[in-house]
Amino acid sequence: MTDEPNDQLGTLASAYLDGEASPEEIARVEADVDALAEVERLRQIRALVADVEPAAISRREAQLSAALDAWDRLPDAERDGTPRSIAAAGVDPITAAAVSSMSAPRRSGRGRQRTRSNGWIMAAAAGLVVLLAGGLTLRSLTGDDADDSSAAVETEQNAAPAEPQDGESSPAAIEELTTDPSLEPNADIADTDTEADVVVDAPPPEDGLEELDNPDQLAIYASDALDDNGEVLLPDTAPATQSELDDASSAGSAEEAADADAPAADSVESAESATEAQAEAPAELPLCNGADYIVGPALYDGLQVVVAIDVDRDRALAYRADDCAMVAQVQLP
Amino acid sequence: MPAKIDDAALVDAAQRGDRAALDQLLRLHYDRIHAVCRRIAGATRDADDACQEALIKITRGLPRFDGNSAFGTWAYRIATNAALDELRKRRRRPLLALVDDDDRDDEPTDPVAARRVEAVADRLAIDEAMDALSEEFRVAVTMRDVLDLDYAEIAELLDVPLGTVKSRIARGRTMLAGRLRLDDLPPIPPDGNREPDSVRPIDPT
Repeated sequence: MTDEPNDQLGTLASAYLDGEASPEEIARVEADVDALAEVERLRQIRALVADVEPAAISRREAQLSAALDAWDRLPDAERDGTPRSIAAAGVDPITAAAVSSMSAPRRSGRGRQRTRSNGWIMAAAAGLVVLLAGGLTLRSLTGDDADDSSAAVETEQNAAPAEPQDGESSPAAIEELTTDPSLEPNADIADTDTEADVVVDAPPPEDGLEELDNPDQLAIYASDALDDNGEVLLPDTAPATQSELDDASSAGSAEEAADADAPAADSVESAESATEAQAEAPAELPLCNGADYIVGPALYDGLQVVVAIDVDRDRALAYRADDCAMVAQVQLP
Repeated sequence: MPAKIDDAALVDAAQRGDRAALDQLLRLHYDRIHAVCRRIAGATRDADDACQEALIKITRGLPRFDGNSAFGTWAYRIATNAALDELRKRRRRPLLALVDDDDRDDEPTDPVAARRVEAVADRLAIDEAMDALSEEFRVAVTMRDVLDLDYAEIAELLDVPLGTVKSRIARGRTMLAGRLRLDDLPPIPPDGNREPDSVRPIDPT
């Protein structure tokens, strides 16, 4: 039914069915047996399309509950209609940015290309401003005009000693901070990992928790814990330094630690070898909801969650550490 | 369709921090939000993910909802976008092949069971047929037939001319009819409707 007369007939009948036909079109349809037959045919289609099976009550309630939970996590000021702002929180944004850019550990490889929140980018950009100002000050003190760019880079390296652990140069870091990674949401799927890439997915400390805004980002974050064959990376290749592990552990709250035993015990029966090895990873985070492997803590829509992988169903999970309430889940890419 | 006056009052209360109002608002619109996700993202878990994502985005965006459009229109737009996101993500993933058992000859003998089977078959058939539609047709047909939006509202939501909406809906329905073999059925009796339970999916081979 692609020829023009039938297309016209279909359009006419469809508009008639929807009550969107002009008086002239109505008259044409009602005078044409074929057009009326087409209207009836499309009426059946409309009935079929509209007949959507309702969601199961349990699913509906779970989804509504998660939405209300997101509401509860909104700052009071935002719930009242006042836009969220750093200033309202009483924090100097430049200071916050500088602290953030210097204390948050860098992620490498795929994680480096992952979409990050605009807030983090702005914070990092503000940190750069501070660093550049420092560079200018240094230059004015030394009077050295020979190589401006290298002086600035050297200054940044001095100011942020924790960052270039993976052998990455600071100019590259600058480029990263000024590029909006959300423009390349799938760039992280490219398999360009080195061994070092695998390692650094120990979660950052709480101040620098990975911020995830949607299931896509959740899937990408979780997939970083998998190797190229989709196998879970065992912790013997995981956190490179004790300090990173300590950071990851500190991200879990005390209440998460207190609740960790029960859900972890539940999951032991169904856990696979990856799970057993996982015991050496951040142990404070509970395994719930069929999760076999914990990727680490993160912020999902502003809510602190545990990101984990359900190996059997090949899904990434985000749930609350304190009560295991599921916040989001998504198929792994 | 939920009354807009109720929506306005509930939105107002929710924006002042009334959690119960938000709960009621979401419940009022849940079925349509779910239906949109189901029709656009398909009969998969993606639809559930899209629905969840839409609800959270609606909740988080509510403080900034300015009321310039109806709450429903705004919420359905979010749901449509969430469903399209899931649909696009799914298309980037490899899919398992579907087994087509459409050629089975065994017919149920119990008429009630037969009717149920036919109802399920109809739903599966329309799922398959919708899945075969391109995004633009799928969204237009869903907005019209599931959300019951008029052409002007759809044109505004999709930011396309009215004529484009009219054409997309007509062509989408015509493609669905062709895919569901409505073309092969006998002519419509002059006095009544043909029951949709005779709908069969097209054999892709």
